[in-house]
Amino acid sequence: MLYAGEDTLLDAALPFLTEGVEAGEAVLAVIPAATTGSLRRALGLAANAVAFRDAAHWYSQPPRTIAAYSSFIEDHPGARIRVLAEPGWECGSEAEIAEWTRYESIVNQAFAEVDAAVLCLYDRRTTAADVLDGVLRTHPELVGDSGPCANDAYLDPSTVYAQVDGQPLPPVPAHAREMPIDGIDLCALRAFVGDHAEDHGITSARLHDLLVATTEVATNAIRHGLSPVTCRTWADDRDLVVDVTDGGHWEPEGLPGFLPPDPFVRAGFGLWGVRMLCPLVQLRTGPGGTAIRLRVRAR
Amino acid sequence: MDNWFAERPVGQMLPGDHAWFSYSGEDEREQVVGAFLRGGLLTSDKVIYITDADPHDLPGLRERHEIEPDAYLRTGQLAILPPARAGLTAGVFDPDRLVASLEDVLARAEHERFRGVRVTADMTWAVRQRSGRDRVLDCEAGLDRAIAPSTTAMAICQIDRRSCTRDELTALKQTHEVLVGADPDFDDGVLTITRTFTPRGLRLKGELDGARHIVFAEALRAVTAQGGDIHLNVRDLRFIDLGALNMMAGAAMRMAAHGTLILDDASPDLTEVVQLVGGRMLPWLKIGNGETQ
Repeated sequence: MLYAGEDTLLDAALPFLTEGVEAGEAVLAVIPAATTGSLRRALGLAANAVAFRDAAHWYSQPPRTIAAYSSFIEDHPGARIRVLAEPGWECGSEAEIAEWTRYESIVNQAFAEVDAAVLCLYDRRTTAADVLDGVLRTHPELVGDSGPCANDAYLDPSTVYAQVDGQPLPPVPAHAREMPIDGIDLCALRAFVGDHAEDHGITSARLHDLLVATTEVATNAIRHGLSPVTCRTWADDRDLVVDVTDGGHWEPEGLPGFLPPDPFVRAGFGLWGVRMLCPLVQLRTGPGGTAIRLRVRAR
Repeated sequence: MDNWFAERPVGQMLPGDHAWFSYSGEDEREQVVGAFLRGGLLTSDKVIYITDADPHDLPGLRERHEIEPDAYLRTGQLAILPPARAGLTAGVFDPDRLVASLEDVLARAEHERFRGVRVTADMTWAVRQRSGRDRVLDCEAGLDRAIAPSTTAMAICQIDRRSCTRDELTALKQTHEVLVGADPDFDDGVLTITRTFTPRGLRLKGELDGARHIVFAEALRAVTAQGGDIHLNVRDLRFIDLGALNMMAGAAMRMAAHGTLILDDASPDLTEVVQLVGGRMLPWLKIGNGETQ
């Protein structure tokens, strides 16, 4: 639902949430902190039966969001789930918007089996045009003045997925620093990435996460890809980019690394962990080779 | 006596080291004392063991390493000194006598052809005698005077931790400058894996990534096979990759019925990674502080 003012927001959110509370459903509101107060007041006593979460934290990066929803669902076994979500994204770059669009699409598929009703809210006045474009491609129904109706612009998740991956990665700039990776011993790679990251002001926990992510991606390239395996790193505006390429054509199945792995099997743990640790992960693969690009903000 | 200790794996002990070793099981003794004895016998050191034990029962020689003590006893490279002869006067532990015996043995070894001298004794029996603690403290001071200036001799004083009070252990430990522990099971300059016994587990040091998954898997398999809680001390582990965390999760899951796998002294960075990827993935893996539960 696209809205344009607090009144319309409350007009839609209140009956949606109240209906869930009255039906004894597990009701979750993931909304910006600024909206929480007025929504709680409007709900009155019913607010006690609603779990409120801060959207800014909840929507930090797609796999973390999916993991958070998975946990909520697991914590309420057997219950019908009702979610009011207002992501309120402040995503700047085209790549981030594309990944959030992919996320919106993936959840249709990932939670298809879950008995749930989800109402997503976007403020028409503040949401960027690119984001709205993505929203329209990823929500099967739109709520208008006369209630929900089918969205003709909705695309199948696999189509959205292919659209996102169809965008080529920007070329590696000439000033990128490069290191060939010729063995599984990755101490030197960590020193290489660590030095550049520190030069760009990435320290402590974020550096550690980046090194874990880089090591994982390089390990996969060495074990499952084809030589040559190369790591390149460069600064791009406020970000540090780490790019690992290999000569193999990886054809991943399903949704590689987006969904929490089954703890009993733990297949796909590595790429999922990389996506959990690193704010933006882009994967491109084809006959010419495979590239995984990690991007962290240098603050 | 100050509280400064050098901690050394037994394989890196130096001449002049008068080392403290408190154990809580035979396995641990075999690892440390056994390595001390073998290291001496196989490198032409004179080895002196003050004990009532049968030479065939000395830790870490025959069982796993098939070293027959008889041959070394015949050549005099290995000497067994019963405490009754070396350090008892009228059935009571006599620190002066033990120190004198030791000085005598060291002086004789000087004249023999040995490269160095290694001495070890389990002092638990002496501590347990009447006023044993103070006598052993006297004895340790004497041993320290005999060993510390030496350029050829090194000694390990063994104490069964289970037979002593915490105060006794602290007082005795402080008469030593060196704490000796097991040699690493694996050490390639990047990663060191060492067995620990109290608590039971492994100490990991350095960096653990795909290049060392196989040795780590083997060490983890061996240590978790015994059952019970297992502690992995990661205080000095600068880096661990997701693959190794995944292996820990697998081990923790397999042993969940009979024990817990606990990560001790994890850095804030590592704790964050474990919590982030592990909240759901590694529910069996616990973060601890080194204390046995």
